[in-house]
Amino acid sequence: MSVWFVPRDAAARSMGADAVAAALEARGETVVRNGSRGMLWMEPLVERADERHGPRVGWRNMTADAIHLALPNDQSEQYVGAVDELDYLARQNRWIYERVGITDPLDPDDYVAHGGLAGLKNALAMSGDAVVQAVTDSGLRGRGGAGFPAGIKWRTVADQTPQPHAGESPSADRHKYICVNADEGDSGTFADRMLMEGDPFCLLEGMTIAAHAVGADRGFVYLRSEYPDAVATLQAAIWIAREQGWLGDNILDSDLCFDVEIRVGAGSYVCGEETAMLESLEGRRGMVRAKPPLPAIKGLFGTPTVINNVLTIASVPSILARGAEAYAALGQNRSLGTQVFQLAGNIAQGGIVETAFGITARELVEDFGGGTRSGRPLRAVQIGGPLGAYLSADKLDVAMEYEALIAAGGMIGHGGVVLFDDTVNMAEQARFAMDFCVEESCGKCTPCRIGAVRGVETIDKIRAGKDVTANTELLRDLCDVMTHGSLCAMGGLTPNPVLSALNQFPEDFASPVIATG
Amino acid sequence: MTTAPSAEHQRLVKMANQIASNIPTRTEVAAQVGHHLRQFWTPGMRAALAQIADDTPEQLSPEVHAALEGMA
Amino acid sequence: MNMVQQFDPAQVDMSRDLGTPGAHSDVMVNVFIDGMAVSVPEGTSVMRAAAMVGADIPKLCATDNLNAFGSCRLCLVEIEGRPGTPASCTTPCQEGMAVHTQTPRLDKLRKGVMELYISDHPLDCLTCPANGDCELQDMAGAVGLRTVRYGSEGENHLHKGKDESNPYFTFDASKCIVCSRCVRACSEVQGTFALTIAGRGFGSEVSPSEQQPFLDSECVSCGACVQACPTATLQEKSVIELGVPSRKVKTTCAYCGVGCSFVAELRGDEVVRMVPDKQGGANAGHSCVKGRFAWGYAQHQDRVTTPMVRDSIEDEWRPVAWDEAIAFAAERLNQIKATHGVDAIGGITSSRCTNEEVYVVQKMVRAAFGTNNVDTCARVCHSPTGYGLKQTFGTSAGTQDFASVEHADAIMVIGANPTDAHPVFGSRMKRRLRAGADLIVVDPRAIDLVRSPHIEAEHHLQLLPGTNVAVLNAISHVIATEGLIDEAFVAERCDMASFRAWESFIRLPENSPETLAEVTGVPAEAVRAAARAYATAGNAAIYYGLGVTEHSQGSTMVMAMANLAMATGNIGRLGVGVNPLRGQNNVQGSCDMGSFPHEFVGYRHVSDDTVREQFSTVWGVSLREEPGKRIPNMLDAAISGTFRGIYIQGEDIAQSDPNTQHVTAALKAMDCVIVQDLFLNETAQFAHVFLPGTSFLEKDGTFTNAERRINRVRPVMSSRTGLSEWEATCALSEAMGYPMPYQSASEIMDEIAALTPTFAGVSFELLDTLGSVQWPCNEQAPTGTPIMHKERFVRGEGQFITTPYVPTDERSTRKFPLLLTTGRILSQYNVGAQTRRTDNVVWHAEDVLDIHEADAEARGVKDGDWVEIASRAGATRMRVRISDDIPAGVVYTTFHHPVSGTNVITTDNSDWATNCPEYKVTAVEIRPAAEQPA
Repeated sequence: MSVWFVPRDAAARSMGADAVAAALEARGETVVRNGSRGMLWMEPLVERADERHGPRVGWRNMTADAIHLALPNDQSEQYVGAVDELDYLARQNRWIYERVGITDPLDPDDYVAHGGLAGLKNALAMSGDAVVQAVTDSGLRGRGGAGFPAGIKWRTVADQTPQPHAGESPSADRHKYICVNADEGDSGTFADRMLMEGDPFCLLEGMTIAAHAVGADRGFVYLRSEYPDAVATLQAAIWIAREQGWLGDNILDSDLCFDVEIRVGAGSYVCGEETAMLESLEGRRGMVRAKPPLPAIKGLFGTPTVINNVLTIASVPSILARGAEAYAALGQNRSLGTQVFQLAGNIAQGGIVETAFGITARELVEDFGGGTRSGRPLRAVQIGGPLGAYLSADKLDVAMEYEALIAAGGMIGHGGVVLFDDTVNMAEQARFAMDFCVEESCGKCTPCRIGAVRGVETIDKIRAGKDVTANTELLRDLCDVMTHGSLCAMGGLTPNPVLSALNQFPEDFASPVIATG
Repeated sequence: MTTAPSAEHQRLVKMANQIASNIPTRTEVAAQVGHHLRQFWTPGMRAALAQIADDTPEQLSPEVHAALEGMA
Repeated sequence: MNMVQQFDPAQVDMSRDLGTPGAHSDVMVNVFIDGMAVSVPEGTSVMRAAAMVGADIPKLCATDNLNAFGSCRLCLVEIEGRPGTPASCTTPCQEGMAVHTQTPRLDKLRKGVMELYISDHPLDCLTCPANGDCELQDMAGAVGLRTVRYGSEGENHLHKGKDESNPYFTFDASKCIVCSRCVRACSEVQGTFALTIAGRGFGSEVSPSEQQPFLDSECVSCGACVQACPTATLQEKSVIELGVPSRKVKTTCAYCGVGCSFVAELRGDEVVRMVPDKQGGANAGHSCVKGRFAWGYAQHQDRVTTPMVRDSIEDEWRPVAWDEAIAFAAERLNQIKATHGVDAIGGITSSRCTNEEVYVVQKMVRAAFGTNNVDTCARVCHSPTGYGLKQTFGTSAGTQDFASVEHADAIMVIGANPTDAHPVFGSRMKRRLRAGADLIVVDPRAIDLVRSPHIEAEHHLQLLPGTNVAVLNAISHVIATEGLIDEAFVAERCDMASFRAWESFIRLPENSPETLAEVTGVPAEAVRAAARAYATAGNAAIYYGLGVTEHSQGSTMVMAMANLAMATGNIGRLGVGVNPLRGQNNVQGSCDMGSFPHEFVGYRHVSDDTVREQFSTVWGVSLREEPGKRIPNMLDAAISGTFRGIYIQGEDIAQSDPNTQHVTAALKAMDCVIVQDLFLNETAQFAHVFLPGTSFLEKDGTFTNAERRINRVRPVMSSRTGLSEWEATCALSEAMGYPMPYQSASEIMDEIAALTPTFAGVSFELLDTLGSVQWPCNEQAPTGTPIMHKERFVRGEGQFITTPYVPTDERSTRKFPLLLTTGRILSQYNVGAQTRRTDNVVWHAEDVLDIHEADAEARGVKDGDWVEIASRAGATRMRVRISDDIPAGVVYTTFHHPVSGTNVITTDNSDWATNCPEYKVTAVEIRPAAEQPA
């Protein structure tokens, strides 16, 4: 009996997936709500298999109306054929996303059937130290943007003794924490969300492996309130995992005791900064803490804490399942393994591309992305989120990896790639960057708190043609103060888009604002 | 001296009885009460207490009487 | 290494702001600051290390009594081998680190940061009250800012209004640089957490509570925020009014027994503000609303500055010259002496006065009056402390310094309310509690500590008033029967016979928490848990107040606590001890100074021939070997007609002593009542001679605080009365025929030192050198003794004393079913003579009676109603407040306003050993009253 697959991912739902699923069910069809395959321009991408785990064919951009008329068939112009063979997917190398789009995210049997728990089982057969070593050997680096080697961070936490919460008596219970930063606030990024909606057990498994590795007993996922679907799915997954014995006491009959809770943020971008996230988790205002102390030594509630991004932690199960060596064989230089790139903006084929580091920006933009959605010439690409630099269209041969992007004046950030066509005004984009900082600054440090406001004002003066030379010099000085003076990456990186716009597209700043398009 | 018990005398009675009932270590209470009276009371107060013990012995506890005897 | 200069840490001027707090580590790391080598404890910030060698790094958000915050970004430095420009305040020194604090790159960045600050700051320096005393101004100069290229038309906060609601300081948000120093001071130093930053980014602003005016917020006006503010944002109103001070004098606060050091800042002879002294041994730069702001009473119009006399208390006062007043008083006293004998006169010393002033009064009584009829107001507060600790440990004083609390793992607070009554120490204690120490509160009332921001008492034993000894016995019973006694300590340090007697007593079933639960009202399991927490904490410290002493078993309770501390080995090191929180500034000192009728200076009995001989020789007069009268005995004798003249130094017994009717009757019966005070107080209504006193701002001498710390009190201004108090006392003594020809207060201290082994090393010179010193200070301890009984107890072996619980006579009856207990509030002080004459009245305009809802309901009383409170001694009226801080059956009030007449209803029950009045238990009944008394 054939089975239909309709994604439950928020992106697919926003394009009518729920209605599509209902329409299929109304016709008496069996429907599985899977995660998204990550080809967002095709959503809702409906798939059909002859049996539950059999090969699938798909139809893009399905509508409920069409299904009410008739079940889709291979004659439909929306028919895409065998989904796994689509070039966009076939060219990827999915480790983190190995199950996303394939499984029912909340079906534990499905999870295990597709390789889930293999990493955790392997890990539990090893000592914590050996797990830390495996993660170190894999070359895995933080996917939140800073690229700090995960194994070294874990080693630091593993070397600490558990501590009572700050302010509790020395005889109180002692803890270490695993905190996952799922405050995915960068514009044009969605990989954390799609993983949590598409394969939440993978994140929980990664956290559990981390807990075993460093000796932690509690975990938090700090999830932004703008992701209600992810919150609901992950919460359901936590309940199911507890029932399955994947969380709680004596996980998989081992000595490991570990549990996870979700904390929902309240709409502050800066809470994606790890120390601000800790403040928020502790119930305070999300404001950046100075380091040291490192969170690995004194983190959540003053205890040793692993803080990793969703993608970092979600990489761990497959590393442990398939081996650190295999992972480290991917990528290049000091950027090993895979990265989940997110293609967005003015793009023909937006979505998820998980592939080994080293792919060029051009390959992502042209081969996967298919160029601009408007069809107009590409003018600039912003890589690494709203604080990433703009690359002009002629500089896209840069390899997508940590160091190469830094050398090119950019950063890989969280793997977001946002396209702009030739109608973009880059001075406006520079202003937007400063304004984003005005909007999202926590207000602790002066360069960010006041500097961003002055940045907007100064760009406005330049664009209005006021003392352009002097104000451009002032803007550069301000960017210098923000880069080198800010307490955290929020203020420190805001000059990236501003200066890259100013340097590569000075013509957009030179003239008074001209209405475009 | 006085016939009606004055406020002053009433206080002395109360103080002495209270000392006797509260002296912490309950051994050799009389000696301890005596010591306390010598340490902290004026000779006039002690004399007045002795007078009370003679005039209205029922006002004072046995320990106070014993203490006064010990001091005599 | 020989190329660089090695810096000598001894050269560091600790009065400067070194930017971040010092680190505590035995590991030293060597760093190079601009080429200068310096060795600092591991954990020291680069900023502090640099400041130590004199390479001050610009800063705004950093100050050395607050943890580094890293927000202003002025203090950036370059470190060889490291990328970027880290903030020096948040970067710890590491071995071999080479730091550059001044480079062209840093200059440019710092200037850029300052440019941002000034782009959002009013340019009114010349008319700003902080002109010349503003760190923002200083830093703009330090970084060489010359222009602000952003112009002044940008977004800013200059339109923000001023909050002038607090009587003592203003908050001008237009000048705020959002450095969070105020917020951090409120949290870290004061521990009130009244201030936060609201909003984010450019909209961040300091918010008292929920963006309320300061006066309506949780702010307790301790002044820490004002002190921390680097600009004129938080500014004393007195500075705005009078201008920036031009001279400074270090002195000591005259309110509670914490004894905070202050720098009085003046213009000419006018005090502009009192600033807590960072180097103050007791307060380390912190203050409370009273010491910081409520000093205006010293210049209040009610103050009497001219001596006055009158023949009868029916007559009007007659202002006279000093000579005449002294002659008048001397003649009357001499006449009484001649007619009724030396036992008919006496004196009372004041814990508000300096050691030197107290010393001369008791000396005058003993030498010039010729009697030992001298007592002190400490009779009514901490006399049981002196008695109890002397019996057990051998000395009449607390065992620790205040800093010791920072090492306590469990803190037991009994009958004390430090956040209101000893706020600066309360803040220190709260800091330790927030860091993880366990808290055990033994109190009928849920004092603030039981639940306050980031603090919750693990154990609150909410006992019925009057059952302290029962609760302590139950705690000790648990410790003795559950094997929690520190046998090794007891064996090594204590008298074993007394221990065995105590142990067999305390193990009796009658002392079990289960047996006593009915009496105390405390569930047995709660007592057991608290006992275990205290005994097993590691370092356990007891802090107590008048809720211990002002009971019929006050002295017994003090001994019970001493027993507990000894049995668990919690004595003789940091973090432990038995610590009285003294009510008034110089309670410890007035007791030390021989104010009790049975002992000379240094707690030596008058019957000790050797000691008496020594005093006789130095004083040149024979001294009596029998104890004199205590205050209540003096008053009784006055009513009997055998006591007829009294010299009362700075105490208002008609208001502060129990059973007011009895006190006033006694005063009325006397022929000569001499009152020495700032104001015509209640007692002065019955006086014949009024000798104007001097405020602490005019005094020269010393106060001794609750931790035995002798602090200098320096004259900030000249005496408003023309004489210092000790001069007036000496003049009277001389007029009575016994001259005391001191030339200075310092000379008086020299005599005290010569006559007192525990004070042998004390002199004004030493105090001026060391700042302060804790007695004993002598050859064995030339710089004083922060912690007592370290190797052995003062009395040799610690003495256990069995402490049977004896219920007070004052118990609730059908007629008087409620138990009244009393306490203090933060903004007011004792009988309010000072604080009622300041703007502190905005916080506490009247005393109110706290009553449990059930008791109120049963009597048809609603919140805010007037009620009559009657005891067997008398009745008064007050407004009620329904409160769940107290259990049903207990009512509570403060006693700061004379109109409340709290002592009209307190009885003349008292501690069995010391006659300290039983203020904390009065059986009363409440009934609705129609209106306020006239």
